[in-house]
Amino acid sequence: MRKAVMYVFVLFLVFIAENSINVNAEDKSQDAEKLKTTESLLPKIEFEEDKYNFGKIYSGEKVTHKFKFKNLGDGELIIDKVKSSCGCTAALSSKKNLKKGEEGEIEVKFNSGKYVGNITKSIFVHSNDPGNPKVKLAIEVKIIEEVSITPRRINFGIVRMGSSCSQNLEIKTLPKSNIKITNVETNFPYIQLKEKDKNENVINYDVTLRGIEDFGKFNGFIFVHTNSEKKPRVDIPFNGEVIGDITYYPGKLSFGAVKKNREAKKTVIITLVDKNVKIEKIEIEPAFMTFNVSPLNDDSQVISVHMNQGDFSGKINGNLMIYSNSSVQPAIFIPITATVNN
Amino acid sequence: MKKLYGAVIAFVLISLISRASSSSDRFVLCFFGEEKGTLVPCGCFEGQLGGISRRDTLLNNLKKQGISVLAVSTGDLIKSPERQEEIKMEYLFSAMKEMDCIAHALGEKDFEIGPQVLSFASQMKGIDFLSGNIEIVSPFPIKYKKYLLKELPEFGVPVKIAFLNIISQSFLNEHLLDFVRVHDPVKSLKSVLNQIKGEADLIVLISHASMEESVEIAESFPEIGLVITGHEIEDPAESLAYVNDTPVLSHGTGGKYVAIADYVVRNGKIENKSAEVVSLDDTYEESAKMQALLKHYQQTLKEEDLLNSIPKLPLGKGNSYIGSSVCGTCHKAVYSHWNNTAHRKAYTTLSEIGQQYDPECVNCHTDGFGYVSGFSDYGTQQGLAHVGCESCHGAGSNHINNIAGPYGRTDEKRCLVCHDADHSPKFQYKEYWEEIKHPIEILKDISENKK
Repeated sequence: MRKAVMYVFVLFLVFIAENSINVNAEDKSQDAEKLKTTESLLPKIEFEEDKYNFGKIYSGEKVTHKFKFKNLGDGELIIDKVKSSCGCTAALSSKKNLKKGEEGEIEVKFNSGKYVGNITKSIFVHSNDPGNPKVKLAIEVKIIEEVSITPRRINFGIVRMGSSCSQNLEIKTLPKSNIKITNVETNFPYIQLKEKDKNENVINYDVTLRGIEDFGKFNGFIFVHTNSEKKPRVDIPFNGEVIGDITYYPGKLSFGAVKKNREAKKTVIITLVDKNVKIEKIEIEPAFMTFNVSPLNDDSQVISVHMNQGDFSGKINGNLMIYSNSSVQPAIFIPITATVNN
Repeated sequence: MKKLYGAVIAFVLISLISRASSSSDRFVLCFFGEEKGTLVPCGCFEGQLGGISRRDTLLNNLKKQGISVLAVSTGDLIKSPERQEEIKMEYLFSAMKEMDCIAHALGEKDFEIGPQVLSFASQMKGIDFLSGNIEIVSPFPIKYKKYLLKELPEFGVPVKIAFLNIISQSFLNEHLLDFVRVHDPVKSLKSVLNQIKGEADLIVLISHASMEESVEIAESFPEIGLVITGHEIEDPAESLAYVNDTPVLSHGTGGKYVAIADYVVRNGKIENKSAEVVSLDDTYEESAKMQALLKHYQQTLKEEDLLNSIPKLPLGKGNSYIGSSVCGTCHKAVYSHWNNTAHRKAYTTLSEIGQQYDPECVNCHTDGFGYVSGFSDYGTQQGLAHVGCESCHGAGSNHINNIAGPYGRTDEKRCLVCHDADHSPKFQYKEYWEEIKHPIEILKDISENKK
């Protein structure tokens, strides 16, 4: 009996397999027919140009170009999407579905914004053209500035208290443009600006930082005034940090949001810039905070600050206090902030 | 029949075993970087790519498949040497640590942050720094390696991968600082390649250089098996190139993509299966761990009161910001209309997502931020919250004092300051203007139509 059931089962499998082969064969012949028909009705996208050069434009200017294309195939062309790289927008400005012989347009807008120099941007047009489903278009442009300044930001870096530090600022105007630099100034009292050399289109300024009286980070702007209508004023940011005998990072211990009864840890690295300076005492507030010190090398130490706030909740404003024999930095207070939530 | 059953069972078993071994013989190298201060998409529009949260999910998805993952940061975390960028750098390193990132290849932008911050990050964040042709000479102890040799022990025979890093001199002109000494990248590379000769099964070069320069390097050094490169590449999938069998690929800019090289280990030898670029789109869920970190980041911005510590630009003589409600005293209809526009909700959209202490966001969601007398604190300057009259027309106190004087002329350029490609790529002046068009304009249109 078991053998008979097995034979029936095997026959059943053979029957199914045969049928499926027949069905597949039928499907295949139908597919081939379909393919034959659709092959003759395929769309074909053809652009008049795949690259456009805007030439020279001024920084801040906006330019537009339309890339024209045509459906040279027999089938209906469908534009699925138009993608562009940053700084330019591209959109289909004609209809999405184009019949044989119909024409369409992709409008590309480029905003030069903060770009300078030679820029190339790509646009990708996705369609149902099986031969060319993703067409790459490109725009090229040279963005010129009436006034170009190098560097665009002055980074004084780390400056020892009492020492001075100079950097060069080069201001170039566009040749034959009649653009003039009318004034260069800053409202930061510790920076002096001195014209070093000047020719027809280039002025070099010596930017000197001197006499700053506070430790820590500083920042500000140098203002370059011009007679240009497009750019009457160019702002050059600057930054740096003044250090003393002892320096440390980070300058603040921000624990952020801390959960109640959960321990949190932050670290500070302190470096003795003056080798004769000794740290005499370290204290911390509030009292539920603790710290331990471990050496990193001869000049630097790591202070690990632990918060064991227990049941306390609310805002914490404390300090890590470092006392030394330095005459300029006898006491350093590093602020500690945290918000303890339930 | 029994034989048939046996064959079927054997086939199933073999296929199961082969499937299992196909994932355990695989490892992937994931590269990301050039964030330039982007921790996460700002959220200004739908469809933004990138962010540490999605990146973490991508890496976890790979790990869950039983694949060995080596994640490497290729550097250039920040865009400028400001305090907010220092904070971002710290959080990016914390994120890398959470993601088990094995190395951070220092980029030219990273050096701008200064030796003290780099020292802190190299000592405290538990990630190996790589610096090939840049020698660091700093009083602050910065830990870094010329190369990293990583051993993967899980493939029967140990597999060794070397990671190298160079920075093109063409990128360093603007970033020269007194605590670094720059050596010729090709000479440095040659020297490191000699040192590791015969030691690595795969050599990976992180090349801070243009695509063209990196292709040349790949051509000159066939022993390099993978090059990760490119700067400012906006569509990295398009830039993938091969030099013989060596993939030269980029992860693009802004932390939007991850470059992935997939390898299989067969008989102790490494074979590259594929190299691809993955877009971090919203199909990747936000990782809870990274979301918590990002919340913490926003809290730090608040605690450090960054809104009040940025430098402020001066306005014209005697001019100051006054707030939209003051403008509304005379321009009643326009003010009332503005109250129903999206600009009037600009600050609320930020505070609802907890980003109202982030200077980068506040800049375009308030009036006059970054200028003397402009917005810096909601508690005392509620009148300057949102995108008000003065965001488009400029500070208004001089206009109050002399209403006959020239004031208020504005155009599309002003819109583009905030509606730029990064934050508002669909911006079309004509369409957007319709959304905020003042009543006086509406009236003008009506009267013109009547004519």
